[in-house]
Amino acid sequence: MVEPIFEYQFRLILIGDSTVGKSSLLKYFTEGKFSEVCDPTVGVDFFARLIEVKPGVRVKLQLWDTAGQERFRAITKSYYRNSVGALLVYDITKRVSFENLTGWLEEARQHIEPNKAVFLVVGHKADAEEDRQVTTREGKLLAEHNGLKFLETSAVTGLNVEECFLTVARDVYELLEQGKITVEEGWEGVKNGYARPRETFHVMEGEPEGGGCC
Amino acid sequence: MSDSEEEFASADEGEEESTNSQPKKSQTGQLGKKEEKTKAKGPGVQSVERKESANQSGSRTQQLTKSTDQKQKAESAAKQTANSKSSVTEKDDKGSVGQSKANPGQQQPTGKGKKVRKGKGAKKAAGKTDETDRNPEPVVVEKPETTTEKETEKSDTELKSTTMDVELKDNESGMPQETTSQPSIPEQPTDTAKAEVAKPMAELTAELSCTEPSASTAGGGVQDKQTEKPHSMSPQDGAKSIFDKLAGATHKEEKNGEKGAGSWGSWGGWGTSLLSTASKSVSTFTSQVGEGFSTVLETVEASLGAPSPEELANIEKAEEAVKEGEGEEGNKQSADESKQPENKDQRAAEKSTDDKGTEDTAEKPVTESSQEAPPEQDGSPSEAEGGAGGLGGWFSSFGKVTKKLEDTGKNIMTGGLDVLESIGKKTMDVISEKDPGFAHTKGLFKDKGSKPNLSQMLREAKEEAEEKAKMEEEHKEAQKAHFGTLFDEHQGLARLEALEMLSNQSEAKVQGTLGSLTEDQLQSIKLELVMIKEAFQLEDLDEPEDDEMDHNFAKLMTEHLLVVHAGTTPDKLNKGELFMVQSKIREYLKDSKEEQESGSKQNAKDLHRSAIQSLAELTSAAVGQFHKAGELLLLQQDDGANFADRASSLANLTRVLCTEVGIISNKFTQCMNAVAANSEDPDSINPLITNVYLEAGNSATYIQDAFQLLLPVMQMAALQSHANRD
Repeated sequence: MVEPIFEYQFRLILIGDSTVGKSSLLKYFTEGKFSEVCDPTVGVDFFARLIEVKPGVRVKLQLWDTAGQERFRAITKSYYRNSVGALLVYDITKRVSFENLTGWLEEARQHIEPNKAVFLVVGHKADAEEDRQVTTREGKLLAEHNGLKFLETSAVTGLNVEECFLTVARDVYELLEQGKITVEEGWEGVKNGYARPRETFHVMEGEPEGGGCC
Repeated sequence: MSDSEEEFASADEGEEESTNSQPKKSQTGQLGKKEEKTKAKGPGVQSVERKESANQSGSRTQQLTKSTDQKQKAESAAKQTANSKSSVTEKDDKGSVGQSKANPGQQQPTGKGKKVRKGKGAKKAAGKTDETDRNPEPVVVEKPETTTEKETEKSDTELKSTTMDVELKDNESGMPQETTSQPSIPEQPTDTAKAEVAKPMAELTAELSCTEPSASTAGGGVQDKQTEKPHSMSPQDGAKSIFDKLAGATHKEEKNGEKGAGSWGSWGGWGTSLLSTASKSVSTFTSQVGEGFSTVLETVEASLGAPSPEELANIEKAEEAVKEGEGEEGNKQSADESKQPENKDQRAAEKSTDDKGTEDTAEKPVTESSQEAPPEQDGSPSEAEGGAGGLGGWFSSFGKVTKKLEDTGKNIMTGGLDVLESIGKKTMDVISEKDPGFAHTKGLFKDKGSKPNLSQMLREAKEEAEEKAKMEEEHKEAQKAHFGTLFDEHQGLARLEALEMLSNQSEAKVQGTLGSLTEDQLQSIKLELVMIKEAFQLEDLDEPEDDEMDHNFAKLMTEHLLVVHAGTTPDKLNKGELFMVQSKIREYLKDSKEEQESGSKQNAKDLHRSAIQSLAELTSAAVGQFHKAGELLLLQQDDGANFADRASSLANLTRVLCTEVGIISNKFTQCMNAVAANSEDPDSINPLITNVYLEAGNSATYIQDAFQLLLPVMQMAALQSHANRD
């Protein structure tokens, strides 16, 4: 059960080629386990987790797991805009996914553009060292070339899974503290959390439709 | 100067008493002699005088009580004498006085009277003149105010000088030549000594002075004198005996007996007696006034050198010195002896000053020796003169009694005020001494007014915290059964949001596409769009036609989804969340119903929470299903499926979902009703049942809203399909 008390809600989006392991990464992060069977994502799936970006400051991460399949790309593009952070995931055992990463970054930047966002390059499946096609140095260089941070993760061993989300969340929080990111009307990237909804179930009314936060 | 004053007074007293009554004479007369001597001695004998004056200051109280009138006279005289002392012209007188000292040993009976007269004469003569001049002279005016200080100073200086004398006696004996330098030099050391020693002594004397008037007013003063004096005589006697020996050893002439010895020994003995009497009177006074002053008085006593053993020892030393010295020196020694006891006591206190004194000794020895030795020689003639003048002056003093009375009245008044003031100060000091944090405590007392506020605040804070905790608890409880929270927890909001985004995006695209279409294209597609729109009109969903509570949800859903997605529905959707959730809920309801029938009791609150949770989960899954359906609709552009049919299927899907929601809520409420029927407090359960119905309505609304969001998506899909076909 997710504790409903948090300062902010950050919306992060995971993008990258199909089958690089975005859903696995998210499932490990939200459920703490690696799921062997994983159907390809249809459109977008949603996950959420509360983390502490700094002692006493809790943030709800709303994670949008997009479908990597090319046919969904037209749809997933529309989800970029309302994200404050993006994890660019590639598979270290699939060189193509690494080479496509620049395209993903471009696309994401293009759609997020007016708003500021934090990007993180994630080399996934780091546990499959024997099948590695992309070296850590290459990944790091790519990230540095674009002025981004870099991490190698594994949903099998759990390597850096927490760290990659925490890194993005902390960077976002920092920008928020600096005022470079603000909570804006009509932009869902960062939302104020509801610290203590006062309503009891006696007063509960139907949520006004439109998906607004309660 | 006050010393001299007192001395005068005592002298006067002594004479008066001596004339009037013998017993008094012996005591007071001696006092008077001493005082006179000291007074008469002048600068040359200052050292001795000072000692005595110190003693006298202690004994003052008694003397004062005896002769308050005389006091004033004495004061005036003392001032005068002081002035005279400072003046070189009076040296001779001093010297004569000094001789008188030496003489008294031989001629004591008469000598006393003479001395008294002499002293008086000298002083009074000066006093008279001074008295007349008093007012005009600022110095004189100042003196009375600072008498106490002066006394102390004097005593200090005397002490110094005496100590010096004792130390330097040997040297002094051979240095009579320097008499000329005496007057000016002795004063300097005294001044310096004053500055240093004056302060501690001044305090003591000030307190003594305060006690004086009160003692006199108490009336016990006079009595004390007499009663106490006999007591005080004991040390005197001791001293006397010693002195007697001395006298016998050194001077045959002093055989005269006790008197002779007394005159000699009286210098020492008197000092001690005065001290003792002073201390005693002081002690009695203290007992009267209270403990507050006891400490002060003790210090006074100590400073005055009440302890007799020390004195005796000192005296013995002095005796030895006398033995060593010559006949002339004997006189000095006797004076010194009297000084010594005080000196030693004072020495202890004045060690620091002693150092100075030793430093100054180089000068002092000469001056002191000159002071004492030469005056003795020259003193006799002057004494005679002084004595004659003294008699006259003494008698004339009677006429001034009234004036003295006035002055004493004033003194008593001012003294009384001083006492009050000092008592007040002392009280504050004592209080603050015993309680250093007095001010702090006072502050605390003052602040006490706000204390109840603090406790109240604390209590309020505690209550607030408790209330808050309680609310938190309730809130937590409510959260567990809050539809909105649970809906969000199952990503329902995110899904709805994503669906909204898709819808808005499609809407924009539809409008854009329609605007770009030609008239013919519009005409051809218009019908389809209208049909789609009609399909999205859900009528009277509130009254589900389908009363059958056990409709096959999975079967109906699968059928409708197949139509919606034209048979290309991914397995993920068919085996999707919605079906799992629905079956789970049905399982739960089935179990709970069985449990209920088996008779096991159920908690209405748990049932309520399960109901809300189920509704939220189902609704979220339904919204997710619609969202995915929308995404797929936009992606599946190839086939030539009828979008109107798809729309109808979606509408049917919505109906099925809403029916399912209704069924689930009904089943939950049935269970809860059953619990309520068996419950002792159905009123507490009814609101929960109502809440389930309410949330069921909410759930249906979410589902229908999600469905409505698909309209633009469906239209967009139709447009895209139409465009592709073209």
